[in-house]
Amino acid sequence: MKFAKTIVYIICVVAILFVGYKLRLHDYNKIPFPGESTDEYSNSWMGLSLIEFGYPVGVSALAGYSSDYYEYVNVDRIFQTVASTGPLLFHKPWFDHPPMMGLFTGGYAYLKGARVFEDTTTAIIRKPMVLLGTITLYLVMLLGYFVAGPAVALLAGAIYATSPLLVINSRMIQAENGYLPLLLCTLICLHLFEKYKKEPWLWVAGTFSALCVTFKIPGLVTTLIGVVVLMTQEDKSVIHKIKESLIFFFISILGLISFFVYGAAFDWKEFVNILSSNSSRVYGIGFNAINDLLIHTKITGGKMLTDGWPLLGWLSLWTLFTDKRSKLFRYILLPVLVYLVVYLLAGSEPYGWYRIPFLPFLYISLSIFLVDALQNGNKILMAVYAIMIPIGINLQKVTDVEGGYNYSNLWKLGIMLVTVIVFSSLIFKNGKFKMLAIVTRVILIALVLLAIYTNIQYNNMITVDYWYKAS
Amino acid sequence: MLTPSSMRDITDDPCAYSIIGDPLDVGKKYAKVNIYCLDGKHSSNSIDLRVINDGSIFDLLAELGRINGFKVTKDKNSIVLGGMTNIDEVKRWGCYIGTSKIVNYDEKVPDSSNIECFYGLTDNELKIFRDEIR
Repeated sequence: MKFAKTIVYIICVVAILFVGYKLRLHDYNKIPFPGESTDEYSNSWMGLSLIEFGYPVGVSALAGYSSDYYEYVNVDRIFQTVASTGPLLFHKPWFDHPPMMGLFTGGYAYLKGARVFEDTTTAIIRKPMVLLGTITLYLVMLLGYFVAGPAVALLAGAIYATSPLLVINSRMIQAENGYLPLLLCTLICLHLFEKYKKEPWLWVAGTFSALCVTFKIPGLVTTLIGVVVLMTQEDKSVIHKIKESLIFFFISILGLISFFVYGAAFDWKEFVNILSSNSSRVYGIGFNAINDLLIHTKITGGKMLTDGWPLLGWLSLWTLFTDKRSKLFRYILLPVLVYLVVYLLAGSEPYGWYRIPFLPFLYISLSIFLVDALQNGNKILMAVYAIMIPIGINLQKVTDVEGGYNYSNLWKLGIMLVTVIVFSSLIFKNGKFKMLAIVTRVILIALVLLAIYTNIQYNNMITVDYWYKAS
Repeated sequence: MLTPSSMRDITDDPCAYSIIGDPLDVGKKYAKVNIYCLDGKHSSNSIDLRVINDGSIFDLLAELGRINGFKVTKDKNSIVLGGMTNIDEVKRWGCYIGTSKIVNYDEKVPDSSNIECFYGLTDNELKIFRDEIR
């Protein structure tokens, strides 16, 4: 029986990975439009030039570079479509970010035959991101499994695989998509270190953490998260925790040191100039950054894709504050808070990709909330209405396109029925009314399945025409 | 690294594509290039002159051809854009800065200039056409 359950579970995991991969693959080269973020090309060009010539060349608007090269590199014919503000501003050597993201996609492009910048079309350079996004999906499920159990892992995976915001975001060549799987690996390894008490897991965690910084300097957030997780361990002395944190910290910091060595190898003075420029970016997120995080779901700086799951995730975090299971507090809530501090301090423009590292934790958190509601019934009232946030948004989007048939009567009837049953189960708990509690749980499961189904319908709607009209 | 991709489509039609928008923060270091082909087709482009580093008019047109994907070649004192060759006195290219016909394509591009290239128009037809588009 246990063997059969395991097989069924594995089949579910594989099915979720397959659906997540297929959704990310669909129109991956067309949406977002090629050129909506020239960072995607710049990252790949930096990697390609590093491989071909041993010198990083990329696009940047940062002050501090000693020479500027204006060029129209008309890859994907971006100057005929979305790039409307003139030529790209190149610099060499390029030091905006560490090179790993560029080496990943630029290296893939090189293996596929790209030799000049115009060869790096989105059809080529986004392909490895689709694979990386699927790997990240698997790691989200693995982290959810370790900290909260198999049910949470499956649910978080199903939502993460199908959430339209993530499907679109995860295919973009942004450093956040690069270091996110490494951040998840770090936490998984720290969990295994705590569980098995074997120091090699700590060293591996530190290594993953060091690699995060090789994608982007804010990848240092992994180091901070790791130290916080280690220092909040239970049943260990302070000295012991400090020792483990220091080991982790000093391994992690090697990533940052390697970036400094890389900069010194090309041009130390220019490297320091750009580092200084990077740290004094305009505070574009503004003082309403937290409100913006909760309410708006962005893909780029100006393009939004309404998705209800992040909001439900933020709301569900409050339940983890009072949860007695310290693993949830330390491995899900604390990483969100640490990254929130880094996000608020780093500032810069409110680009959608800066929010990517929040999402796995938000989605695991809301899955914990929903599974808890199913298992112990205390939160079921809240869960039933909370899940209507993403369902409502999905239905609004899907029915807007179909038009004609009026679903509002069905919606109101559904809410009425659900309300009657759920409130009845709260009032009548004994004797023959115990069945109501089971019916309520079935309703919640049905709503979750409806939410995932409408996720997929919403994803299917996102065509080039739809994206063109999206604000 | 900046050469066009061998996988990109090259077109015979210089009016097939236009560069959208205007370059920002260039002051007067830009040039507008409008190309008028047969059958009323038209390509409108605004180019940042910093990309050609004080280059000539031919360099500018060649750069436009590189961006939009058509060949630009010299033909005695004239020019050939894309596959539309200079066949006779009528079917040929004529380029102008303002109302002055360009005869030396090796001259430096003036800042904030407006270059127009026409194919297949006699002088009279060109005069009528210019009056119409104004």
